[in-house]
Amino acid sequence: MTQRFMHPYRKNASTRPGWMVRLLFGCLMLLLVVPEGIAAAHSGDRYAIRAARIITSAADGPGTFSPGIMLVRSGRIEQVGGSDLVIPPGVSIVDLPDATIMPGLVAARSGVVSRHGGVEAIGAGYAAIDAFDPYGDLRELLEAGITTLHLSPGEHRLLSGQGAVVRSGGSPDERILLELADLSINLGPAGWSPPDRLELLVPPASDLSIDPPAVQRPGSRVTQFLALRAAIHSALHEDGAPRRGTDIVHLPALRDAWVDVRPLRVHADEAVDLEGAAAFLRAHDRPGYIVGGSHLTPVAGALADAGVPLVYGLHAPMRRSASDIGTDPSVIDPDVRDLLSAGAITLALAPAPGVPTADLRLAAATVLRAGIDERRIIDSITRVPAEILGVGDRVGSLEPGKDADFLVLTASPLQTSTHVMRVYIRGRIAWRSPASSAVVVRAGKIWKGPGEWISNGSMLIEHGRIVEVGHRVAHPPHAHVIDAGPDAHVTPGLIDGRGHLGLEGDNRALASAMSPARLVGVPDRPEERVARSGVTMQFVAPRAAVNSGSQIAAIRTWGSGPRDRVVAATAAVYFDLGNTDPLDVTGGLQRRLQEGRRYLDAWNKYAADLAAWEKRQAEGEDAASESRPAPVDESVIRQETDRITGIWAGRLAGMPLPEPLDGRVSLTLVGNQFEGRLIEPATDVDHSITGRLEGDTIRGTIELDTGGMGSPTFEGRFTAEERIEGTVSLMGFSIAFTMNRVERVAEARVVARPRRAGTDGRPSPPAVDEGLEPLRAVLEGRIPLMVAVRSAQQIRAVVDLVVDRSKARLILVGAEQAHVEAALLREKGVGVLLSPRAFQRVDNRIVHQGDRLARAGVRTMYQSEAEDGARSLRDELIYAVSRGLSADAALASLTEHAAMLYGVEERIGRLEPGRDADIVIFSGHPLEAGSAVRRVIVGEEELFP
Amino acid sequence: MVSAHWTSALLPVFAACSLLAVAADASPPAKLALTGARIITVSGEEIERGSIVIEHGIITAVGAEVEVPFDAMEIELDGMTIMPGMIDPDSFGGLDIANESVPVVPFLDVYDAIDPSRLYFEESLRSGITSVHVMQGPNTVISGQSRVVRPIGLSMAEMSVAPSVAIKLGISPRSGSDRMQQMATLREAMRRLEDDTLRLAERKYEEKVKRDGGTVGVSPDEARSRGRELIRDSDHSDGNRVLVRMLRGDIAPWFHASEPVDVSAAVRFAREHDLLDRAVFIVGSESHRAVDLLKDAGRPVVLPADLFDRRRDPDTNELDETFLPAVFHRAGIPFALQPSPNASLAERYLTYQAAVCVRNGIPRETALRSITLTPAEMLGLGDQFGSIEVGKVANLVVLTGDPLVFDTWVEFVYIDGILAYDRSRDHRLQRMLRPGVDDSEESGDEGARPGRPSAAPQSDAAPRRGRTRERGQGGTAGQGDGA
Repeated sequence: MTQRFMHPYRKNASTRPGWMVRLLFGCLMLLLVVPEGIAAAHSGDRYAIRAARIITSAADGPGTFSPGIMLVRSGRIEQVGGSDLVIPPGVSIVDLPDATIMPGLVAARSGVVSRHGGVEAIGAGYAAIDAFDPYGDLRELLEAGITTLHLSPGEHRLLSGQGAVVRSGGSPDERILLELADLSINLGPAGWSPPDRLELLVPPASDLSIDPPAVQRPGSRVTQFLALRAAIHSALHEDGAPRRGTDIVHLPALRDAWVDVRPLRVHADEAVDLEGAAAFLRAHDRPGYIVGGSHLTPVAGALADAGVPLVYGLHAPMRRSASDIGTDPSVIDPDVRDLLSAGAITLALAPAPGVPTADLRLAAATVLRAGIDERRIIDSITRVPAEILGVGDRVGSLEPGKDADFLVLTASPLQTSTHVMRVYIRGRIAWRSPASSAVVVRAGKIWKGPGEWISNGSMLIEHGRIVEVGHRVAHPPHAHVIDAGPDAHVTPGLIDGRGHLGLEGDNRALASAMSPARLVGVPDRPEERVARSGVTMQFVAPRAAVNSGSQIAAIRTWGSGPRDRVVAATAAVYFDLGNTDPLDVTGGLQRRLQEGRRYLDAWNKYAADLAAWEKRQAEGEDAASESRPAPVDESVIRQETDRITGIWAGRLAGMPLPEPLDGRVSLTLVGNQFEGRLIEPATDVDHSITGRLEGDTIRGTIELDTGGMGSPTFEGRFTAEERIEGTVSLMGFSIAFTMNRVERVAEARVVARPRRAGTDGRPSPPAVDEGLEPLRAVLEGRIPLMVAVRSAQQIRAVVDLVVDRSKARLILVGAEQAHVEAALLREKGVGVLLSPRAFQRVDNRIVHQGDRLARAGVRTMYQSEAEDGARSLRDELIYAVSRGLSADAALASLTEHAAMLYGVEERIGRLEPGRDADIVIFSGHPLEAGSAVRRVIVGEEELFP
Repeated sequence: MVSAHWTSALLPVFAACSLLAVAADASPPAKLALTGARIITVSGEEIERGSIVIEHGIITAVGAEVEVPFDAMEIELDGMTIMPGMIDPDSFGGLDIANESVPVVPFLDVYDAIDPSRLYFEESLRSGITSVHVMQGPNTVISGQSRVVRPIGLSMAEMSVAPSVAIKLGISPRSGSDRMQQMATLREAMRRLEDDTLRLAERKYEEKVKRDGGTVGVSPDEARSRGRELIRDSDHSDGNRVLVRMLRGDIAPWFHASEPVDVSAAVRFAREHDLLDRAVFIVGSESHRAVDLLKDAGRPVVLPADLFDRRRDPDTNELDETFLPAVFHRAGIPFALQPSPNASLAERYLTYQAAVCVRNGIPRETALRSITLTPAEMLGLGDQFGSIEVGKVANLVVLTGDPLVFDTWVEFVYIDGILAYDRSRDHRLQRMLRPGVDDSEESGDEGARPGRPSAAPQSDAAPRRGRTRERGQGGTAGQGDGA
């Protein structure tokens, strides 16, 4: 099926494209408009989500399923497994074939809540949850993949208050995971010397003095534990409200927290404080963990032995340069690294103070530099911090029973270019990346052009155009990423040099004025079949060529409609010379080119006149004073492809004529009307003839001065192909006549038409002749002329006529003898359109014409000569390859060479910035029989095979 | 907050405030009948042409077929409309300063800080407001006690209608504070009250035992629980006494919760302390996002003066406009409208606010109720104010037309049956509307320079619109005019 990139989202659907496509687009548009709608549809019920990879972060089990399936029910995970997991019937499926799914990240430290402004050194009453706005918009964190975060009341006081654990999205009533999660204790200089505290007596009383501001403890490292212990003792053992003059407030809050065995969250950076923190936790037998640790080395082992979990702050100076006087450049303390590698310590990674919370994933990725296993790093930003924060039973890993808080990523979480596409919280979409047309394709091999394979390459597509091709291209945020895998080959869409897609079995020729592009509509089943085979472009020609030259149009096999699909309405003009008289091998072609030449000359003359006129205008000459240019004769050339146009020799016989009268007339058919004149017997006055052709019958009048008897009329019918019999009537008398066409081409007739005097003398353009316009393009070198030829003699004659004399580009069609004249063809830059079956027997050996020409330096391309039979073009060439054809040459012919021969290489044929994003992803080399078409992208649309 | 010299300050104000002063001075006519007007009762059906009989400031009869007592002063108000006096649900307009620098001040009373000479009261009267709930501003944690006052009178004693109506509990952080501090302060205050009470209980019990000649033979906890019953209100400190009354339900807690996050904190706090029964939520323009919480709470709200919430989507930059009253109306939450404190906006008229509601789909009855009866009920004064019913206080606004039409004027205002406002004698208004008066001449606040003689034309300049016929004794309320 097909879809817009902006919705890399696929639902099960049948494969009836026409209306289904539109319906699907409609649905997708609807989804775009009401993103909540889909969320609502998901909520409550069950759905399955299928992705390329699911990272569970679970402590046990495989850890990763690829591909993976996850069942979600009522906001919780029901089941996670690989492709063998059975999706119960009736469960809707969210298909994310390119995506990686992982648990939402858990930021064990965040800057979402700024520290409180209270002065108390021991301020257990400050609760970070109070500062959290569950209605707030934290999309910056969601976009970074952080779904769970710790809120700290601040790290600026010895006991700065109580932390909380919340979600960054979802409905407001679901956001709070732990209202009072911990007591925040801060050891080290940050907590020392809190400001003096002034307690005002309100209302004032006469019996109480007004005290000066009270100095608070701790003033130094020595007193920090003392102050803590004193506070805890007071909270537990003193009754009632605090005494006046004490430096400890919020005692009831501290008492409650202590009695509830709230975990202690101890921030410490210096080794001495870290040691003290561990000792403190041990002494009070409290659950707790340590946050920070720039100088862990001396105590890391002790911490690990004591089983104290650690939230390790990552200094990732990614948005600004690091301070000049700073720490070791290693991302993680070596001792911690060893412990972590060995799995000997419970460690969560978190942004250090000053590092934006949103950078968590990127900062964690830098830990890879220390040689730590990817899975361990992912665990330490998902499951481990969730467990440390006390919410491990709800979030942090994708396991049955846990909340469905997960991320949809474009690729592996620790890759720099990976982006979050969606965030689900409690099973609902809490954030999704804005619609983007950007697509990044990654593959093991990218065929940029002949001989230019890029290994492990990637390419960026935006708005249906290729933007960048290389090893590591830009990954714009919100881009859809297709990782085709290391074996995949990406090539330009294959080009069918000539086919008949869309003609629906019509065998008739099309008039030379008509382009097959007019038959193009919304793609249907045949087009889809061809597109899915990897052929994204077909040069569509009518099955039969007219003698005056048929147009060939460049049509994409897929697209939303004619505007998308038609790349060039007239991409070439096609003549089939057939088995012409050996003495006149180029016969009709030569005459037609002459007509074209005259037509082109008329236009060139006009262009020259116009340029001259414009020059005069620009020079400011007074056009009125200038003598007007003499009336210019204008040649109007008629053509001979119909039944009437030409020179007819006729005879009038019978009463009242005494003897048969012979004469010749020249007639020209335009539409079903013809006009002409009497040539013989010659008179000095033009006697014009006008009439109509109705089926086999002609009727008309002859303008003849009969002295008031009116004009004679005539009526006749075709009795043979070039013979008309009928009567001429005047005043009731009828005389029988017979006419035979003696020349098919009407006599070139010069119509002297006085130029209409424009007010400004601007020359007027010649009449446009749709039938000759294509030839004009040919003669101007804009499009090639394609000529089906058979013999070597024909090849020489056609090359001489088209390339040498008409200076036009030439493509030979068929041309079984092309190899004979290969040198000539190479010299003249003539290409050959071959059938994939162009095998030839040379010295008892089968040789493919394509190889022979390619080796001789002649450009070739291949034609299917079929409608949706074009889908087998690749298979036919695979057969040819199996019989010895060069796969590289064949691929070049199917892509760049075809584009170059048709002169559309600026748009298709290569994977090059600026070109159309018509690409095919194969599972292996495109001309390998075992390679499947994985994906086809045509401009902004994508097909799944 | 104590306005120390209000009496002396008032003396020079007297002359300028003649409008108010006279009305307040006048004793109500014993019997008054307002006849011939369309009556919007708010509590019931509108009466197309009816009469109201007032005796000693109380409505004694309302209806289309009311017989006017022979001894009543009848005022014919043909073509006019009478509606209940409007109520400003939350205002600090009458205070000398809006806030205290100390965050927890339940022991204070706005009584001490209301300045009767404030132009605010005159403006209120002019726009048809007959009751003002004067509260401390939003910059507080636990405010002083509020009062309902009428906007006439020369002293607080004259103005005050209901004392100790509510206490404002500030959930939104006051300036210079953050949410953690705000909530910690609030919780600390409540914990302190609890601790104080426990200690007081213990002491009372010990005293009782001592009085009875026994010895305290129980644990402190037991002593405290026994002593609780012995505590009388007067035993508490001033501040605690007020908080205890609030916890008991005598004083209503009004939560100032301007953001949705504050609403959730306020509801949680109210539940924790069992304060939900009488709680009122003063909400902000984004409060519609927390409407579910408020619906659960089942308590009325005071809406901000700006009734629209306009937000831009940061991704699409699309403007999303929400009309608050519609959200609350849909949720079935009673709401009161506030006038804008910005005197240059039309929103300063409660009738305009109600009209905006009607324009945006709120039923007319609800809109009118939200400026009269709903705030009265919020204040616990629904039995006295807010509608035109027999037995209620005769706070009436006489309008030249429908209240929700913008070219309608407030013609007369009756408070307690006293003619408190008469447009024809509203010198300031006359002067403002007199053509050809240069603005520069008008510069300066007349209230601030009370000694200045009024250049406004006297009452005869404007024709009287209501015809007064005296029946029996009793003069018009405006008999002191021109003093």
